[in-house]
Amino acid sequence: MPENASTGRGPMNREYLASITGDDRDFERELTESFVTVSPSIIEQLRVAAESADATAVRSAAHALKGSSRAIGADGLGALCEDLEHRARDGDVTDAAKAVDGIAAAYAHVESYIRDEWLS
Amino acid sequence: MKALVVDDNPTSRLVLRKIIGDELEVEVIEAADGREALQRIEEDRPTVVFLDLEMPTLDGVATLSEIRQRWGDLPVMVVTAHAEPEFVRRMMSLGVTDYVLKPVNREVLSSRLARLRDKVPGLPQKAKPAKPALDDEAETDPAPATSENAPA
Repeated sequence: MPENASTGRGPMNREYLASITGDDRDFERELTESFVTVSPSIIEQLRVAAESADATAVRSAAHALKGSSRAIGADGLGALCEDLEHRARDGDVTDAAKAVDGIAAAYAHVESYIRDEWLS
Repeated sequence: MKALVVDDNPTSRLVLRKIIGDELEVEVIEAADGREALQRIEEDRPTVVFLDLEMPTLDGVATLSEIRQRWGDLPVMVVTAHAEPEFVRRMMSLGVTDYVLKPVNREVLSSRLARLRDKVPGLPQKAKPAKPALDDEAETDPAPATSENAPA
């Protein structure tokens, strides 16, 4: 499971998130809640696109999830999405379904962390 | 006074809305794609637009071209993950006011917003933080420090 590169612990860069929110705990909750509300449907789009080997749709969904992951400091998840995005941009979707499995697992880790830290 | 944030990603919009609202002290309105953005500009006449590039329906480049045709030099700050030099050059040639990379770094964006405030007439000038005052001085001089009356 990708850990956060800057802290070596947990799936999120808490320092980044705090810098963005100005240490506003309520805003952190709002942001992370938005992330877990929106992301499952993007992962579903990714899965459908990967199964149908639709490189354009894979690239677009991977780009979307990369953006929201990085916006909240889920850097490891963002990196997995970026890797898939780049491969899909080059038209390579041969292992896309496997990559989506990895992204879904990383997302589950991030979501669980968010629920424990902000939404419980 | 309004600022329009155009981004298809709701989490990114939240981040931008918060920082821009805090820093520019303007009302922040949102659009999820280029078509919606053009409609919001028509209806709400924002003072400045913050534009993502990669969006469904009408992407940032097409949206910017349309903005230039219909609203001339309306200030547009591009906020995107695309760092490729040819992309940056193309956007600058279309007259963007500034170009900021995602993921957004608050310090960087804040300094670019300060610069934007100086470039764009009509944006509120942010009050400078008041100089720490002795209790006696605070009682005799209660006026808040503003850009007009604060010491340089």
